[in-house]
Amino acid sequence: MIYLEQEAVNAVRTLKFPLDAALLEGGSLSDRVIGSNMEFESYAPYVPGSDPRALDWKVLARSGRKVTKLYGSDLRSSVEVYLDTSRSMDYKTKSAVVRKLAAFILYFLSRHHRVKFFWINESFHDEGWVRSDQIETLMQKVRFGGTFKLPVLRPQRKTTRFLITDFWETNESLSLLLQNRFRIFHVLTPQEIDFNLKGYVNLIDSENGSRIQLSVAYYRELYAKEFESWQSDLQTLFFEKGLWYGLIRTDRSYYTEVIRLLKQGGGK
Amino acid sequence: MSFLHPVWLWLLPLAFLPLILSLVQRLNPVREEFPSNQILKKILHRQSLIHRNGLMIHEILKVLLLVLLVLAAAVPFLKSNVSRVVVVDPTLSMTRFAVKKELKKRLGNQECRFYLGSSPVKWSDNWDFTRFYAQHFNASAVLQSILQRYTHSKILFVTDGQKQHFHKALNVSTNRIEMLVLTTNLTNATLMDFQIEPHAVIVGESFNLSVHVRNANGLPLKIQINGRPLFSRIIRHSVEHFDFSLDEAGIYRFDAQILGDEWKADNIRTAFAVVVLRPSVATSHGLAMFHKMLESVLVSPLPRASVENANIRIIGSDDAPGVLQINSLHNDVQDGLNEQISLNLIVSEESGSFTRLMHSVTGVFPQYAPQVIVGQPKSVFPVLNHFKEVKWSVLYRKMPGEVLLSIRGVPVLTKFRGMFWLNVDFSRFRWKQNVLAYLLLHEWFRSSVWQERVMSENDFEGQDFLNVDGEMMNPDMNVGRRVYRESEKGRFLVHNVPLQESGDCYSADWLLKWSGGTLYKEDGKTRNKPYFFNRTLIVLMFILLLLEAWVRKWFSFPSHL
Repeated sequence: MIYLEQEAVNAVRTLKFPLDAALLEGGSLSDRVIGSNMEFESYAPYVPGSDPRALDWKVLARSGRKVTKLYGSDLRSSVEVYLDTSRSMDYKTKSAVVRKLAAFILYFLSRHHRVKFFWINESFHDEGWVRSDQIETLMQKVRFGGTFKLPVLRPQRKTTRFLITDFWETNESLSLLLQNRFRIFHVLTPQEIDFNLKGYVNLIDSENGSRIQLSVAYYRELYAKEFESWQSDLQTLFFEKGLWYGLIRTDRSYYTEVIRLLKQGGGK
Repeated sequence: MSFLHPVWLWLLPLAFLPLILSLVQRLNPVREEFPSNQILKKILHRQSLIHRNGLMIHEILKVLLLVLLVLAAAVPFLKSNVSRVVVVDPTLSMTRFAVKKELKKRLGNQECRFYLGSSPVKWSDNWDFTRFYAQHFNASAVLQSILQRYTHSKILFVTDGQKQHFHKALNVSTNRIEMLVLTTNLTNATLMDFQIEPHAVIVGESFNLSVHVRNANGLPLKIQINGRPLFSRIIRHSVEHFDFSLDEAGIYRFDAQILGDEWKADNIRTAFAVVVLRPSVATSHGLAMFHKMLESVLVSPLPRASVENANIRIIGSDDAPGVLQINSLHNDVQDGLNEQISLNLIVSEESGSFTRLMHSVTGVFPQYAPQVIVGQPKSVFPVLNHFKEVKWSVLYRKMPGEVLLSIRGVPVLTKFRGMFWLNVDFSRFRWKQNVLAYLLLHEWFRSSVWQERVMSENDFEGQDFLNVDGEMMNPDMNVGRRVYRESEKGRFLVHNVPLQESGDCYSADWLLKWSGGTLYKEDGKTRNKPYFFNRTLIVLMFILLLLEAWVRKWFSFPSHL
């Protein structure tokens, strides 16, 4: 397997909580509409971050297992994973990392949930329901280029949506993303975060072709400050809406980053 | 505008290097695809035009700073306007000659400034020598001060050679002082004088050439004029006189050669004396270094004399013996045994006794230009090697005393025993701070804080002359050639003009420019002294440094730029 790495799968197996549940739970706590539907539907393993009130104390007393009760409003009918495949995502190692990240997420979600996969640039590619044995083929089909254009999506109350993106040129779709309650994996290379290029450069924007000439040494600190403020604004915006947001650097192991973010409380 | 050290100007292109590199980079930027220029656009949109070009402004400031630094090192100055100064010996014996007629004949309509002795006079028909003749005149003192005042003018000294004025004038400078000897039959020209200084003569007048030789056992002497043999004779007395006359006016060069293997220390006067203080410095390695150094920087007034003829004295580390030996050297000089000491080089460790010894030397031998170098034995020789390349300089290091100025905890200027000491510590070199501090202090030393004046014989009449340590000094020796500066606590010798000049030795001109008490205008029309721009440059450099710091802060430059 090229995209789904064995090391990533092994790393998840050592966890004390199921990754898919943590992913879905991580961003959904404040998403709950209290009292909308209190009818018991099923059990789910207790993971850090789950509401302790939902813990089934009787089961715990009987068998010693920690399980949480899932009610009608907690259950998602399906999960949708969207991958931004605009040209900016093809920068350096980013395309390889996002393919692996998407494969990783799809694999763990598709084991217990119905998952749909989409890749979007100028056109919208609906790959339909995903089976875990299809993931490699799906990732090979993904092509990068053009710009990111999010189509108008039908609001679906029971669907959890994830987007893997670098968030460049996605700003315009920001309201749409919030409206559709997207959870975000923000993937960036170290060059984009720290601006650690060298010398006097003529930077060509990979998507709109605009050019800027500048001395990197002079602008590095200014860039870092501006980036921090932009990223922190994004994070706050998503958190305020109770949505999961995680920044993943391509120079670090993506699955370790995802696990770390989940342990911290779903990217919050 | 001229430059004192034009060789530094070769560094000017280097000052532009950062700017050129920056421009080259700008013209050939590295093309690179970047995911998004979104953040950069935002930053640039907020920035003003000045901000966007902040880096270039900073580069330009840096270049300006470097240019000023190079210019300051080259020491720019405006030359004096006076081309020729005529100094007339004002003593009574000069009344025998028609000086005015002679000068008119020789100078024609040249722009000149006239001095009768030390008094400036105006050339007019009423100018009468007989009214102004002074009883006392010290040629060395007057010429010394005039050399200082007119740093770029030729000086014509008109004398009859009485009271050895001819000889004294030659000792002040052989480069810029020309001699007009109005009588020759009574002039006592020494052997050395004739070898070195060509001078004008009057046709038909007879010369009386005196030859001084210490060994009276008989030495064959050959004298030539302009390469033609004049006579050859065995000299059996210490002083012999030869009469001859010249049949045409002009410049003559007399060469004297003592034949055989008589160039021994017994027969000739030593060329110079070197006083080495502190035995710990005078190790075999130290002395070897000294010999090497002396060979490269000193030139003997005698043609074949070399460092082997140097009278090297090693003086004990204790105060009292050191002073005694210096006094003994002084007595030798007075007895005529060591007349031609032309330079004293004092090397010492730093110690409390050093100042006392130095004042003894400068007090007893004020007429010889002592160049003082102080340092630890381990560090002094490499430093000397360095200075060998760039001429001698006065280097004080790590002196005790009250610290007046320190930079980053390193004392730069200290005050000790009424003197100011400049400490240059090469091991802690911070180019911006140290170079600026050095230039500033250098300028400060030359500034009017120190009142410079020339001492004359009259200054010592009826009074004792004390040095800064309160020691009595002998005023008999050729005091006119001393140049003193006055400080609050006393007087001390600052610099003097070396007797001899050559490419390797200090020229009087260079020394005077270097130590230059200059910077004033005597009248509105004529600039008698050169105007040095260094202070202006240093002020500009400080302004630029402040500006650079402000630009750095204002543009929020990262610290590594």
